[in-house]
Amino acid sequence: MKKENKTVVGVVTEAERDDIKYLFERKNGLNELFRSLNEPKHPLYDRIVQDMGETATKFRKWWDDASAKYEWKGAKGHHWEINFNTREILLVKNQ
Amino acid sequence: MLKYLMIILSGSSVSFCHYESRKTDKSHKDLMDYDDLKKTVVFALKNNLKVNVLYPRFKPDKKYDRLIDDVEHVKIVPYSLRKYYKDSILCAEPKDLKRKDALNNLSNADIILRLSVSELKELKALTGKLSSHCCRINLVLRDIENLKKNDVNVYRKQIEEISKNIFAKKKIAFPEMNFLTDRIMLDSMNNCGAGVSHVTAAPDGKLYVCPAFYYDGADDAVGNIGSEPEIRNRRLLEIKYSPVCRICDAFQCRRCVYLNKKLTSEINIPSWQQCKTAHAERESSRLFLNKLKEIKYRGAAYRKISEINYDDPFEIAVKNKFSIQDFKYFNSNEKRK
Amino acid sequence: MTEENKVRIDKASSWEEGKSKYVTFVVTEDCQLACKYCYLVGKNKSARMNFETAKKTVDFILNDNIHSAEESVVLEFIGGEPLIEIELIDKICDYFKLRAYETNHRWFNNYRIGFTSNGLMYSDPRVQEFIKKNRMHISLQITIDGTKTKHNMQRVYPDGTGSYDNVVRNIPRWKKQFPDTSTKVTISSGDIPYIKESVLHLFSLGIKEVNINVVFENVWKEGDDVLFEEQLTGLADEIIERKLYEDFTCTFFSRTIGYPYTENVNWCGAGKMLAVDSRGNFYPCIRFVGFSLQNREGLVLGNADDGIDENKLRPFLVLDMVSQSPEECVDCSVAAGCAWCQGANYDFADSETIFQRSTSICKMHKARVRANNYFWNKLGRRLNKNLRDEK
Repeated sequence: MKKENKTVVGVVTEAERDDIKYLFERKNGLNELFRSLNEPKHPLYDRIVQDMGETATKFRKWWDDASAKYEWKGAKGHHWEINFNTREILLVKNQ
Repeated sequence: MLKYLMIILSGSSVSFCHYESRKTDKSHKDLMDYDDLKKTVVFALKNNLKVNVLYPRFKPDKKYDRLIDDVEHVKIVPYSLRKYYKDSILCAEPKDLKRKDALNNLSNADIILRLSVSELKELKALTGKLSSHCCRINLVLRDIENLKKNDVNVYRKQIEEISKNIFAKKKIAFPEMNFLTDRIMLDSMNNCGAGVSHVTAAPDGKLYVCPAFYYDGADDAVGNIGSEPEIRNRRLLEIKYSPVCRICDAFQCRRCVYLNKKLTSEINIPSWQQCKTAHAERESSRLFLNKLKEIKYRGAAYRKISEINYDDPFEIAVKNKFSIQDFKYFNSNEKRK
Repeated sequence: MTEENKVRIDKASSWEEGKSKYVTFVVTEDCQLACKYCYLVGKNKSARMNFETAKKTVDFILNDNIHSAEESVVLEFIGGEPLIEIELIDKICDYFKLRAYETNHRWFNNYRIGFTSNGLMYSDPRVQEFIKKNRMHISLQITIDGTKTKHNMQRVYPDGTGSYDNVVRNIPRWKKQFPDTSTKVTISSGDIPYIKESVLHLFSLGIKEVNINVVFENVWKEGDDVLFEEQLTGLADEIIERKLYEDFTCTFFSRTIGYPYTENVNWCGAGKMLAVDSRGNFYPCIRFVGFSLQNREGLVLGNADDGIDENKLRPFLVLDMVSQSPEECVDCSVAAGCAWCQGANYDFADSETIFQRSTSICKMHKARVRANNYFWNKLGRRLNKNLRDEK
């Protein structure tokens, strides 16, 4: 019953939702793991840095591919968000 | 509803189940007080109960036997006392059966054979030795809590071998064996019934759900001799209130509530050891029955044990919750499967 | 536009609803407060988890495919007051992340870190640094009981002084960092007259979701249910008249409660969760740890060295509603939503069992159902919708 200042501009498939959810979680996990390492000499440092780059690329690619496929409505000063529960893509004004 | 009482005549009375009694005490000091025995017998007579009496390794004073004779009863006695107590149930352990005179004074006997897990591999040999002298062999794994998953296979193989031996002979003859023949004859649960169909009077003047609770040493008394037992949460002893047992059809299972309490901490929930051994028995019984059918053994055609794809009903209970309707109309004596 | 994509993190309590393994670390049994209704009857300053114990637990859950088969995990930190041990928590979380990553564990891509705190240490630089470091994975709930009067009645320091002012000063920062978070309110007998004003006060602080429940202990007095119903009905009126339902929720009002049971399921998740105490012992949940129990010893399922005793876990995995409920509960026409706590049941049962449901809150639940019906029926009329017939 809450008021939401967001507009639904599309819906993705379950498989697409699962893909971006995985990438989103991994990206966040890697970023926060990186903060925990705290030293470049850590044996996992290089592996994590490489992983972060690859994951970020895949993450961007998902949004590029999906927005091209579905041609979601966009607007200046806005961004898209996904609701993982409903699979809806939302157009949200930047704060 | 109570049907009978168990009486532990002495702290050193023979164990007939999944517990150990105080074996070393051969004196009379641990004997049940005569007045307590009298109260127990009177209680049984007034309430139409039969009595099962667990005897110690020594012969108590004759007045005890005379008192016990007043009520319909069964004596459960150590194997070593078999010549003194005819028509009693004998409790034997492998060491009893290895003596030279082991088969003396033994005819058409009803035997409780108590094996430890490490002695399981002797089951076939011991059963073979006893078969022609017994009408019934009741196996008890005395330390079932020590059972490992692989021991269940050992158990099943032993039962299979016993079955093979029966069919290897020209004339098929075998005693009742709880682990092989009981399930064939049952259409509904036939378990121990501790706390429901019987309670136990102990030498300390108190009542217990079963003898094991007395020997366990915890403060588990459910009343005093001569009075009605008061079991807290008694409903949990009924099958209806066990999510595992109420969906199970290993009807021959002992369903030992003491073991339940000891291993799972809940009186109504069986351990995996109990469930898996009961299902090893169920499966062996099913194969045995099929063979009896093949040779057209008398009556076998009328019996049925269905094939199932699990060896522990717990797995089924976790996956499929009983419906509210099924629970409300549950009848433990209903014919299942 | 794709570089700026944001996704709202759900709160830990509903994240991956029902699909997550909850692992609760009881990092300390100490707390700055001595709340009068606290179920932790045995709080103390000596029981503190050491890092080695925590590491063993993390290794255990990451290696255990039988009891930790869930797709995701929530690491919950609880006490006492967990933030007292923020440095230890930080080390535990770092160790979890590192081990999960090293071993390519699926939980590296699916974890959350959850706290329920009294909020006193929220602005501590170590806490703030931890939040910054783990921002995308944290859910942090601060407990405020309502108005200053109501809060200070229960949530007091050992000398009896109320803690309200010291908590509320941290609320703006908390709200900014966790805008969608909620608070948890516990109602005991003496709190009933303050329910309405307390919930409205929490809404006025900007807390959009108020999770509220009555205690499971048998503390209820004659007439409490009547007063409770009056309070909830008054709250319903305020929420409707001021259209607060558009932005706020209070869990006393739910469209799914007050119907007969249709399913035979357990209310509580004990046994599907895992709590570990400072000694490294495993429990079905924190309510089974010794310091939570008034009448019984803790119910230990195992430990990180020996693993989980399968037999001890079996009762929890098959526990259902019908096997533990009195007949009148099974047949109750307004049963849905009537809660129980397995640990409290165990503590107060006539014998040592989890299969005896406490019915202490029966009258309170029925009062709640009547007020709940009132709320949804009245709101439905205002909105010209049928809001009551949805099960």
